[in-house]
Amino acid sequence: MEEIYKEYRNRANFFVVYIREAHPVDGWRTKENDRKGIEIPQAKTFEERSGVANTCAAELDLTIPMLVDGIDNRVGEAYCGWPDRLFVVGTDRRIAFRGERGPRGFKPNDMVLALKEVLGNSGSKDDMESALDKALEGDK
Amino acid sequence: MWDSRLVPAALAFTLFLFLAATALAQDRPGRDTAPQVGDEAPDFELSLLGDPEKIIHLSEACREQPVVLVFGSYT
Repeated sequence: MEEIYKEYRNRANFFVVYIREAHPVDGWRTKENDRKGIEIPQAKTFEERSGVANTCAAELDLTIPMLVDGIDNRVGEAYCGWPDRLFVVGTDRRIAFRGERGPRGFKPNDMVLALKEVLGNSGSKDDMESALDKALEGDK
Repeated sequence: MWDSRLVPAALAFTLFLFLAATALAQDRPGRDTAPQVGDEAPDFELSLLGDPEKIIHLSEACREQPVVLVFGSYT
């Protein structure tokens, strides 16, 4: 995702929305996390969740701006984002891409294809004027 | 036929199974109620990590450019 962010950050706003843990130690813990020494309980306060989000950003070297969902999980539930998921929202505030739930459904390449389509359909006024100028130049 | 001494143990075991199932269910995906393509994206306002006074409103963020949302957690 970092690579995608670096490529498209000037044309789209990227946000990681940090939601409730997928595999907390006091819930559905996994051997893989145990092996990596990732032993994190489900946060009970916003401050706890923000602390873990900070750790996540540091450990994974994330530069994508991160938002932290409230402890009521309102945004995560509104988007059914758990455990991980991708969306693209267009400038009309409508869902342009709805990824399936992860991990199997978490497909950044599919998201990029949709993002390219959204960007391709939203040429700026300057782009259109420039294209018109070029067309008029050709008629002279 | 039933040994009455086993009833409390059976009840306790049943309660344990129920509580375990409830706890695990909270960590399992339920029905997929995510907005569909074409739906209006649910608006939200969340604070930015590292700058908690900066609040991001989705409706403002997508005004000039599309927005990519990456939902996830560390675990």
